[in-house]
Amino acid sequence: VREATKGHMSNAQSHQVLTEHESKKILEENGFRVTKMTVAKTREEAVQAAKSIGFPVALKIVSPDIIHKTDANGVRLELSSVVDVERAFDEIVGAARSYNPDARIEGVGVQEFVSDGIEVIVGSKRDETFGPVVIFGLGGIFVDLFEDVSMRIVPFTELDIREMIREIKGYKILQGHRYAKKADIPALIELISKTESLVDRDRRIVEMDLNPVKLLEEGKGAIVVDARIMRER
Amino acid sequence: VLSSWTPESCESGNMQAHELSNLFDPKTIAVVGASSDLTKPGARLMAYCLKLGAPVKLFPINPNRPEVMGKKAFSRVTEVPDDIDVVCVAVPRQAVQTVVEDCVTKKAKFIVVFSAGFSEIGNREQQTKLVQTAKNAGCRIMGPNCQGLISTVNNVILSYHSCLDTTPVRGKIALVTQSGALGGYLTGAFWERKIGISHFVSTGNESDLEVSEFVKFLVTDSNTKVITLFLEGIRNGPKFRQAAEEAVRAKKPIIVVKTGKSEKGRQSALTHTGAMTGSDKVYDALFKQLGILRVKTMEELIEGAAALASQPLPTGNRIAFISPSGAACSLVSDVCDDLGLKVADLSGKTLARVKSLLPEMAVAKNPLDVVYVYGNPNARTMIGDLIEAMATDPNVDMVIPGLTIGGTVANEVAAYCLESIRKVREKTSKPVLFWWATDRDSFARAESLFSKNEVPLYTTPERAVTAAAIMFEYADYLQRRTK
Repeated sequence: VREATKGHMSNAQSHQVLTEHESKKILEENGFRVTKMTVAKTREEAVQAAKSIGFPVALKIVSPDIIHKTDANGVRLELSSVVDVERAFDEIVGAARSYNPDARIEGVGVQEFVSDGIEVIVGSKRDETFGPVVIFGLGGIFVDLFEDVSMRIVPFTELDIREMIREIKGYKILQGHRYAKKADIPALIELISKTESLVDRDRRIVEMDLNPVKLLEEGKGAIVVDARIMRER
Repeated sequence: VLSSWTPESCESGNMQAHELSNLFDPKTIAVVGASSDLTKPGARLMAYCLKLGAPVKLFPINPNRPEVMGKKAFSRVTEVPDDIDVVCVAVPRQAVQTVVEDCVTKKAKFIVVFSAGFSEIGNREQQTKLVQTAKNAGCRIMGPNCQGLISTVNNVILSYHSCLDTTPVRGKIALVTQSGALGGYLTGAFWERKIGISHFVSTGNESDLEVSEFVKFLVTDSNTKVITLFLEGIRNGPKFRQAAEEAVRAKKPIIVVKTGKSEKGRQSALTHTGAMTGSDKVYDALFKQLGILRVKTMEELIEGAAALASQPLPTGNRIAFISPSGAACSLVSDVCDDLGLKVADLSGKTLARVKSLLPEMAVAKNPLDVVYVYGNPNARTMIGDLIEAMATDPNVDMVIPGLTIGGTVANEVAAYCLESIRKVREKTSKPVLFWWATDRDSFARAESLFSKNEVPLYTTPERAVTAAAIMFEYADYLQRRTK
């Protein structure tokens, strides 16, 4: 996750980091379920988009020059009213300008807010010796603090995917416990499998983060909430 | 039958001669830099070859001498009258290029370059030139900066490593190493423990021949059952993966020690053989995916390999543990969970049989503390009979018996245990891993007795249990893949 930024810096010429919007478009074309996003250029457009998506929504900055949206204070979650959306729009644009005055701002993405589910991360990176690898882990602090991720080298089989899911220390969280229902493991397997075939097919993809993915309870699927793809120009 | 390997699985792909078979079994060897000065590599190689090697045609190359160690010497490789399979090169770096050119003219098949001072110190240019020269003529290079090759099964010595001062022991474990010095140490360590190896290969800078190609050869080699690797980094990822997949199909386990886990380790790998190491986590993933057994230490590599080479694979992870020490029982119970093993629940029938063999004050259970051996009327036979009783229990997958007694009187107990283990082998295909925590002399006596019977012997219960866990890891991988 962190290396994506470093890679972006050192390979700025040969590599291109796609925006969330562009990344999700690629994912959608490849059969991933993603949260629908509308890029609003004005406050009014944002309100319109929120109404047609349905509340609550999330707003995020859309700029090719801002990779870490949270660092630029460019994300607002769980907005339930027109007033909330208007205020969030103004704050996000203002914050982005002061974070990086030179940043090209394409607008603010308005998207469905998924409150349910467990956050997981699925990612890929091209290793110079072994080719593309795919990682999986629980999202948030699990991946940041504990580096609790498993990895396989492309190509791999469904058996490998099952093993990599079981391999993480936090696997019990997915199995269901007194605070949460069992997560949709078959949907997770399918998501990892789609990631594997995407990075196997498209060798221009150098790195990819699907983070977070909301893994819903059994039978309800998995939704990619945020995504970032870095590829060769 | 000593193992679960079928002849088919070992010999698959052996129908036609492998392209490296001449390297492992050459008929003519030239030694460039041969002399009688035993402080020099060329002389040591000659001496080991003459002392331990098969009666191949050996041609010393030395422009200043008419003969070396009783063999007629030639001034250049091109002067040798016969065709040459392998040329060993032990001359200073500056002279290597000319030798390689001579080898090409002579149409030698393989060149083993011991000389150092190439890519491992940043000198890529000269190394690339060597490979270009050789490759254009279809000649393969091992090294440079390597410790060569020892094929124990063919009595072929293409190395000058001092491990050859230890009597070579022939066996089913192959070792391929990117570190020449530690590889030589490992070879000697196997032999000192009376554990046989089939081939030792030190790949050095891998300018041409690399680890993957040797693994591929060893998969097809009917003398090799277990492949052990000491790695710093893989040069060609897909090729290595392919070789490892072939090993899975042939059901030949690969055990690896791989350095570079820490940042510091990675730096030293870079300067050591010029290997570019990938991120260690990628290696971990690769090993898991391919059923390659990664161990932390050289001891685990030796001891895991010894178990896999001599014992049938277990069908499960339930162990029966026998010990004259209650503390050893606790120790093993404590580590089992972390190692992925379970303490077996013995059947009622087994418990009754166990009870009948024990001294009165001992309790029939697993892990089993027999309390004492000597002083018991059936001291000589008790442990052996217990092994048999436990091994025949359907709830048990592996038996790990052990002793702490010493002195020559222990030999009788050992002999009876081996007799019981032989019977167990006839009745079941369950591994038995024996440990003997005693003084060095007693251990050494037991070790030579056990090695003759192909039963691995460990110095401590933890080490025996660790070897059991390595065996189970492999068996479990195969079971999952072949479901």
